[in-house]
Amino acid sequence: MNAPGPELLGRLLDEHASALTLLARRWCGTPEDVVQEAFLQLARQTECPRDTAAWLYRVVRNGAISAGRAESRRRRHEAAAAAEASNWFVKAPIEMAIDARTTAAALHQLPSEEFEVIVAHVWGGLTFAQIAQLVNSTTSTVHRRYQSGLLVLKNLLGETCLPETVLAKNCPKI
Amino acid sequence: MSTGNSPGEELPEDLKTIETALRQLTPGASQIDRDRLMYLAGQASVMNSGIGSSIISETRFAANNRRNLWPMATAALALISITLGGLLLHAKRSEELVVRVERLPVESGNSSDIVSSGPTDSFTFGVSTVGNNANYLQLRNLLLVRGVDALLPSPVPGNTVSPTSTPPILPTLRHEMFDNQS
Repeated sequence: MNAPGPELLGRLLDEHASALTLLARRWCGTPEDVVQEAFLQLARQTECPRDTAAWLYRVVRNGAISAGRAESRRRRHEAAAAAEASNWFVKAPIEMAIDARTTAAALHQLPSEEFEVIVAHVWGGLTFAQIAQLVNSTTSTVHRRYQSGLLVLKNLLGETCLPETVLAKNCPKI
Repeated sequence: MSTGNSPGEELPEDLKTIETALRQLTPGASQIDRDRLMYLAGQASVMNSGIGSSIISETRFAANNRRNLWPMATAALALISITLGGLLLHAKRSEELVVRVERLPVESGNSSDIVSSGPTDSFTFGVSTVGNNANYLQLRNLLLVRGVDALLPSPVPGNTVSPTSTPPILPTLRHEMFDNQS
């Protein structure tokens, strides 16, 4: 397999940069740096990883955890991250089923294991098998974490969620 | 949305609702500078490849050579100078010095030796030797021991040299030494 070319890098950057940044926000205060370093690390590879997207998520996850450990003021960062939760999601031009800021705050309260599964699956588009590979776990465990995370979010967002009618109107068919 | 990759377990309806709501949200755009990242990625890929590393190594080699040119030239010239200086000193030391020392004849107490060796010869065979200091001393000693007659050449059988044939210095010397006293 050849080294990753600029086309692949550009495509991965367009598709996954936002989700990767969201994932890295969980652990460190400089998520963009971690994501950029992950892409540079990918560019240095002499052979393209078999599952490039999963490889990127793993590198970003590990890099963000390492960067978060290096930060001496982690508590302050977490408080700041919670305060800046409005930056996690873009403001939608239409009325959304759930509030972005509230959702970000709720996501921030999730355990890390559930948070990374939800981010990688919902916004990263990774399958549970890929996520299992990412977190060195089994597919069933990952699925269980996903369900558990959604349940916690439902409880946290319960009252802010709009009725089914609004959801059906705004959400695209899956 | 169905989690089609779930291990044979569908999500409950309430969780599907939450999942759908979450998918409506779009993560905030990353602040990564795309152009800069692509430039750095290209640079990183070249640095990692063999061509890039060889170019870098050649460039570093050339830079090192350029930097070391003058110190190396200075060191070479200093070495040459030290070598030449050493050779010069060695040549001076190895040069042979010839010292000529004129040794005087050993003066002994036997007057006959004196008469037979130095003074007679020096007087007989050259006036020029009279001027020599050593000969002068020998002549003086001879005069003091033997008298003026010692200046006369001893009669040799068959020698036809008359007393008048002695060097002209002798009458003068005799006159000065004896006639003046009388």
